[in-house]
Amino acid sequence: MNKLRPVTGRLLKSVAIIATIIILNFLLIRLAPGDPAAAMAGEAGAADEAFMAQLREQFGLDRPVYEQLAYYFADIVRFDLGYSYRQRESVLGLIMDRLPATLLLTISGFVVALGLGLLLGIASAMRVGRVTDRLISLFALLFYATPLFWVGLMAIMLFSVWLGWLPSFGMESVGAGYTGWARAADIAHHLILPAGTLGLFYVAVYTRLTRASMLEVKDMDFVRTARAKGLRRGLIVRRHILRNAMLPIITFAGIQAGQLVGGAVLTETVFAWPGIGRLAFDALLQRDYPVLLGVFLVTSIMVVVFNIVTDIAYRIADPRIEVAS
Amino acid sequence: MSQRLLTVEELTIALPSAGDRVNAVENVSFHLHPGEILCIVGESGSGKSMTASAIMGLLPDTGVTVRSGRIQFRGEDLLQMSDERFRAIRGSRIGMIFQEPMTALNPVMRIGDQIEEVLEAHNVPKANRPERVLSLLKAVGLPEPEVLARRYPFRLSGGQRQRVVIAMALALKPDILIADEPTTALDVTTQAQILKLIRDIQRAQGMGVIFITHDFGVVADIADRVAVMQHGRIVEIGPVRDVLDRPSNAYTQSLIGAVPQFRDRPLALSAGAEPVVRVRGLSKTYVTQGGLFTPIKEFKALDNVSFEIHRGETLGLVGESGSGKSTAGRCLVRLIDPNGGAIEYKNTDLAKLSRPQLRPFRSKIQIIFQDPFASLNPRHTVGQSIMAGPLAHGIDARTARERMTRLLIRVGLDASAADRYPHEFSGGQRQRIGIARALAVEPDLLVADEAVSALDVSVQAQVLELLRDIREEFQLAMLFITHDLRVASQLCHRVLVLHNGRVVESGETTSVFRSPRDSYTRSLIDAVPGQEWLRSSGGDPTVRTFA
Amino acid sequence: MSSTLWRLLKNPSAAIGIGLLFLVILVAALAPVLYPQDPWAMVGRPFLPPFTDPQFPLGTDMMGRDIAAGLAYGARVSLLVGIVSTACAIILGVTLGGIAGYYGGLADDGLMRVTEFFQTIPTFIFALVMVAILSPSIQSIIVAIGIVSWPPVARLVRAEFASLRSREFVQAAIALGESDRHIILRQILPNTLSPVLVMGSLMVASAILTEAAISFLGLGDPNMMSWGYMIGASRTVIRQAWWMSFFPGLVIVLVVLTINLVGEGLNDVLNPRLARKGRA
Repeated sequence: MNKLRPVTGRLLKSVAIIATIIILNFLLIRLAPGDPAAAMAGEAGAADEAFMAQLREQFGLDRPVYEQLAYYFADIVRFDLGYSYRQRESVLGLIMDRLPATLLLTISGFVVALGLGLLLGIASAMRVGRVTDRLISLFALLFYATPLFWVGLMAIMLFSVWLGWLPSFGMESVGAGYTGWARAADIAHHLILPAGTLGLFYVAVYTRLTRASMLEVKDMDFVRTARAKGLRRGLIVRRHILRNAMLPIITFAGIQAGQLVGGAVLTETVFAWPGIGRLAFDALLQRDYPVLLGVFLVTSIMVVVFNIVTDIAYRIADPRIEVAS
Repeated sequence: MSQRLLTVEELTIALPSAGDRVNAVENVSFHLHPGEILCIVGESGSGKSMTASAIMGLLPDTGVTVRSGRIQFRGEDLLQMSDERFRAIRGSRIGMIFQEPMTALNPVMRIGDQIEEVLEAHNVPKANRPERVLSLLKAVGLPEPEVLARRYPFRLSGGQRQRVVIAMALALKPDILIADEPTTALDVTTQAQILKLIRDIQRAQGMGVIFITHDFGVVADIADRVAVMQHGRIVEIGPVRDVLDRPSNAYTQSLIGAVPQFRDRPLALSAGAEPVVRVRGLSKTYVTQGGLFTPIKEFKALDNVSFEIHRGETLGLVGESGSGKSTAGRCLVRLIDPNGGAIEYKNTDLAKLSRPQLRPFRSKIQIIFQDPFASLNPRHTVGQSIMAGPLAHGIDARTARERMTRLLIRVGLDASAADRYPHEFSGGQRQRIGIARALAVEPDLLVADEAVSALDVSVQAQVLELLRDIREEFQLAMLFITHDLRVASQLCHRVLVLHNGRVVESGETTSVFRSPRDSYTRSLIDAVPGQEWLRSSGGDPTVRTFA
Repeated sequence: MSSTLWRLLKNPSAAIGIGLLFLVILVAALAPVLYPQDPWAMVGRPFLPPFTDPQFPLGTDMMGRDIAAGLAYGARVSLLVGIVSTACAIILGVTLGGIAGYYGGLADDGLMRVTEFFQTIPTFIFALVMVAILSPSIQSIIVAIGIVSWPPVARLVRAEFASLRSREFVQAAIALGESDRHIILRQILPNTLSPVLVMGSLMVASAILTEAAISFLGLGDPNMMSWGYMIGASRTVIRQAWWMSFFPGLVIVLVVLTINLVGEGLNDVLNPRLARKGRA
């Protein structure tokens, strides 16, 4: 019970963040040069005056700004994210269709990044200054500097074009008609390159963070106490160093979730992965603002939810938190 | 002579090449018998902690290495032993406790689990462990062992944490306990309890103890034999009474001479009739902001404290950590805004002034701080630091410079120090610079907040001497905040004893310390280490010479 | 400061970094001299592979534009965006973070909420939306990157200010009656500059990556040749012409790596305690 209480506070904070994003979206539309109605309609709206007037009426653009905002809020609370005149479909429908693909990609990317990053970071910190450490640090430094979309393209060149091992685009083999496990295997096969690409940049990030965090903790007094107790090295690393080094890593995972979603836009574009990142890219090209703002809102909600998860993880990992907060 | 438990022979420990000294420890030899307490005493940088770490095989891995020597334990050289064999000895045959109890325990692991780890590492069957943990917690005097074992360290006080560390070190009844300044970070009453605990267990189990300390009072209370270290070498070693009462080495003599003691005669005072500052009912309550679901918490740091200080007079403010003594000092200089009470200075209540109104009065009350390393801006030259105050109060640059030079010389530094940066000076020198900076704005009242607590005993004596001189020369009123009753006794005309934010006793220093009326004051005084030794050594207690 | 530079040059990886960075700046500055013709102009046969024609050592793209010329002009965009957006972010971050850290209270609460907000939203998508709505141009890219990158600076500066404010030398300055302006500018600010400098140098690198990503998605300034655009425009023909996207990407990696090396070198020199932990 005691542990749940701060989580309610966290939920309220999340609601406030989402409300701010809604206001931001509302302001962004008004920031667009020219008539907001034209912006809403996008390039599809043509110059038909009657159509524009109808739009203006529909969005209440002839009313005071605060009233417009209230309408906007009311729409979103009713899960109405607007209508894409380009695609002739509701924005929510467009996004919901593509959400599972994006979730699959980002979660796999995150697992790859965290898993591999922890592994390499620990290996590096345990052999600090030696060849292993230098190689891992060099690898991390290199991928930390590499544009994700370029890694994707080069991976396609290497693994699809030259070696022919892996499919370079899409989520499933078109027209293969797989079902059940066969379909899952097919999707997994398609997932390897995008998830690897998305993960790689963040592998570098987590490797560096894990290494720095482990080295920081390694010099702390309680680690010396553990050595004085005569514990075996493996135990000291696992129970004392790693458990404390995890705390900043969990915090960081929360902070960087937003970036991961941003990376998904690029990855989906490169691999034609049918997710909301790809949707956002198409919307960008067509200046389809309702879709773009909808994607921004939904991805923000994704990040907020992920942050609640990391918050709970932190509370479990650090017993001090209930008193500190 | 009984059999030797541990023999250290010609131990030399090299520092990394960048250090200002080649060796941290040089040619150190000593031994330890079963059932004896050997104190290694010395000032900071003497190599005493490094020696302890070497015995335990815990030297920091930053280039500090044993260059030569042997450490024989039960006929085996620890330095030649395999890692695995040494590990089996650590924590079972040799235990160690450390200086900082607040950071010595893993913050995310339960107390009971941390103790159980020792048993696990040295192959105690799993079934026996929980019971052993509880009996260990009981043995070190912790209440409710069952509850405590389930707690995380952040719930425990410093003294309780130190008891947990002791429980871990003693879990397997080691032959040797190495204690590295185990009471330095603790309050004096807690220190007395921990010292007693170590001594009791040592007697009951017949362990040999190597006890590292900088405090001769502690040495006098617990040691059988003493080794005095300076610059990495042992300069004198022998039975405790011989070393303390008839030191043969000049350095040992100067160290012992610098140990502050209780004085028995009141200090003469030619104070003016009108107080410089009159503090009435000063209060400070901290309120933690309540969130939507967290209740507001109040903490009374300072509760209705009143005192006055006259020209030329020093008032001591003594108490343990959390007593509110620092809060009082900071309220007086208005670094903290009090929420109640008055600070009257020349018919003005400083507590009521707004920040801009206060500025012209700022120069009248000055403060010097505890940490000589944090109290000077590392990017400003010493001269800039000292002149900043006068310049802020509209004094022209030439006068400010002249005053700065004069003060540098007055506090015992060279005038050329003005162009150098703080990192080029030692702790004691920085404290002198801090004093010069405070004096540069010609204050009437000086607040000294633990101003000598971070200094080694010999430097401490010199800075105290300087404070005494300037007090007389400038007829300064001084509020001297300290946790060390012996130091307060050296310098203060009157003392105020604080406990939980309240004044529990006040009066002329020697009479308060000789016959305290309050039970808390009494417990504070009783806990001061080394009193028996100081009393027995007789003579003039303020000046001690070894001719 | 000159001693900092000297110590930096003694650090081998930082010295290499500084040398390479100097080279990139030189190429960017001399681009119009080295390649007098417009980088958008068709100058050769389209799809010319690299290392075949000495006039176009890195080949040409699908429109017959010189890839080497594109790289030289692209350096101008990358450096401009990287440096200007970082400068804006640092000025904004230091000012707001400093005020919040020094005065605390409501200003602090407000700033913390804002930075927390920015930490939670997907900033890259936010930057994309901003550039799209403001219409793609170098100015809007700089504004968008600046807006999403100041909060970390503000957080850092706020934390530094808050901790320095309680340090004893600042307390002494307050007790001496020095003015707030004097305390902020002369006592505290100089002591926060080294971490800000390190953060700033790493931010230039990440701003270059962000700009490349924005241009890759087709939202770059339509009048300026940039590396991200070159990769984005040629990615559909990657199977036939690998070099068109390979060389710009390689250059991005090198430049970003170089700046990171300099940043880490700075960190080693300015924060020696941390550096020792990082290596040794």
